[in-house]
This record gives sequence, structure tokens and C-alpha cells, in this order.
Amino acid sequence: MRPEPSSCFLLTAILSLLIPFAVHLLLVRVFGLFRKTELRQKGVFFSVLAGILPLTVLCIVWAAAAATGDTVGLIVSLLYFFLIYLLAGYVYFHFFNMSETARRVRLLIESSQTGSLNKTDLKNLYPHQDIVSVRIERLTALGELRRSGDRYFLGNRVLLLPAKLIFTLRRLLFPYVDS
Amino acid sequence: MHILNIIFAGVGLFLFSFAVHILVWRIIRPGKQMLWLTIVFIFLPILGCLAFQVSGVGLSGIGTDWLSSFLILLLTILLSAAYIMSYPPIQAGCPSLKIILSVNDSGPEGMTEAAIHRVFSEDILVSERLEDLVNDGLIFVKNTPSDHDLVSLKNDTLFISRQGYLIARMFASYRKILDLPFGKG
Repeated sequence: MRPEPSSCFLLTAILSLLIPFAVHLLLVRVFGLFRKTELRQKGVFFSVLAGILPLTVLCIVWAAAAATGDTVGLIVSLLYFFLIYLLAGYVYFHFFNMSETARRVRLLIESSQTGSLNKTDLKNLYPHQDIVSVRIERLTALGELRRSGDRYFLGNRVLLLPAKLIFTLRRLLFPYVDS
Repeated sequence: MHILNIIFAGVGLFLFSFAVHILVWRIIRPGKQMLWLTIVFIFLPILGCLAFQVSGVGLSGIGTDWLSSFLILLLTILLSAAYIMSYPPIQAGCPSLKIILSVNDSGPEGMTEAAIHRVFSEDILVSERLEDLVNDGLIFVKNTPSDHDLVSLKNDTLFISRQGYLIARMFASYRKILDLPFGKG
């Protein structure tokens, strides 16, 4: 029997989308882990990785229910589940990052609390010095930057390739803007 | 290999949207970019799938059943969402990534903290993001700027729109569910 898409397949796919948030909520809220500012992004990353365990259980349950004899079909179905899980994890990671680091989100939240903002107050509320310093702190905590004396050097280089990719796409989409 | 075809169709639909996105951005240079991203990456694939469904022209090896279409759309929309979430740093030139590239360019000499600060001009970090919020209709300025350049506005008051308020509340509620304070931005 080939593993044709069924409502059970659809349910498994939809449940797998909820795993990154559920695991993150459990770690942060119930176990009180990754609550410090410098650990929060690591916490989401760890949650997405740890979520592979419940995803595997979910896939096993689906495979048992589907009772398929087609091994290749089964592998392709599992590939679909893992693909959408990884995408959901990536989207969730960025969603959390937006709430943590995005200047636009912070400006919106500040505006929503007071109803309005005076442009001259923004400099006090959101000093240039802080915007850069907080990022240097975060990148150092993530191991992306390494401090030696009064100088910073590149650390683990995990974000170097995405950084190059992002700025290449920026040049492709906005050739008229100075990056 | 029904599900493999679903994966190919989902990725193909996303790549089609991505090609349209590059064309639109290079030709029209849209102002309300978030609205256009939603149209190109969410509505366009939905319309495409609906068109195949209604016309009864099933993609080869997939057929026209609603469940298959839904699974294709689910994959396409997740790929699109992943791209849309990555888009702000592409559009705004993420400061963290800019720091990484600058430190990488500095080579074995490295950079002092003061030198990293000098990579960014004083006003631009906040003012450009304010312009984005105004362009996307999330906030508005009391006195309409004549040149759309918020850097030049000194004493204007910024008001949040209903749409902006809803987005702010969504993020605030999310942080509340996690029991975490607001991020520092």
C-alpha cells in the first residue's frame, strides 16, 4: 500500500508545525531555562533541535497508523514531515528574533504603549550607542565575535555565510541602494 | 511517488514566486513592501493552486484532489514564510550581520568597539526603520512630510495605526505567553 496523503497525514503535518513553539514554551516557561537576555536566542535554537524528538515520535505514530509496505514512499513522506518541521522551526526562530531584536517591533511596541512618540524623544529612548552595543554583546554571547584585549575578531563564523548571502540578495533586489 | 511530486510542486511554486518577486522589485520598486511580499508569496501561490484545482488541470503525478493541493500550498507557504522572515535584514541591512562582515573584512587586525560603532551613521539606524513603518502604514506622522524623509523631521509626532497596534499587541502577547520581558530591539 502506497502512503497516499490522507487526513492522518495532514494532521501529522499540522501538529509538527506546533512543536517548535510548544518545546520553547516548555523550556522557558515551565523549566525556566534560557531566560537570560544573552541565552534567549540559543534557547529557541535548542528548542528547534530538541523538537526533533517529539517529531520522531509523531512520525512513528503516523507510520504505524498508515501501515504502509512501501519503504521508499514512507521515506519520502518522512522527508516531507522533516522538511516542513525545519521550515516551521526556521520561521519560529525568526519570529522570536523579531520580538527580541527587531528595531521596528520595538518602535511599534513603544508607540502602542503611549499611543504616540515624539521624534525628538526617540534618540533618548533608542540611543545609537545602545543599538550597536547590544548587538556586539549578543554576537559575543553567541560566539560569533571573540574579544581579545580591546579588539573584536570573528569567532565561530556560523553567521558569516548567511551574512554574505543576505547582502548578495540585497544587492540583487536593491541595486540602487548602497548596502 | 505522489508525495515526492507534492514536494517538487511546492518548491516549484515557491521558486516561481521568487522569480516574480525579483522582477517586481527590480521593475516597480514597491513602496509598501510587506504588502507586496504577501501578494507575491502568499496570494499568488494560493491563486495558482486554486486555478489548477478549478480548471481540473492536475499537475503530472499529483492529480487535482484538495488534500494534495493543500499539502503543496502548506510547503510553498512555509518556504515563503521562511523567506519573508529573512527579508527584513535583506531590506534593512541587518546591523548584526553588517558587524560580522565588517569584522571579517578587518582581517587579523580585528576592530575596536569604537570602530564598529563608526560603521553605522548616527541617525540612520532608527530613522530608516521609521520610514519603513510609515511606508507599510504601521505608523503615521501628524504633519505629512513633504519629502518623505523622516531624518529631516525634528518635532513631528508619530502615531501608531490600527494595523501597527495589532502587530504590536501580537508581539506583546507572545512575550507575555513566554513570560519574557520585551526585547531591547
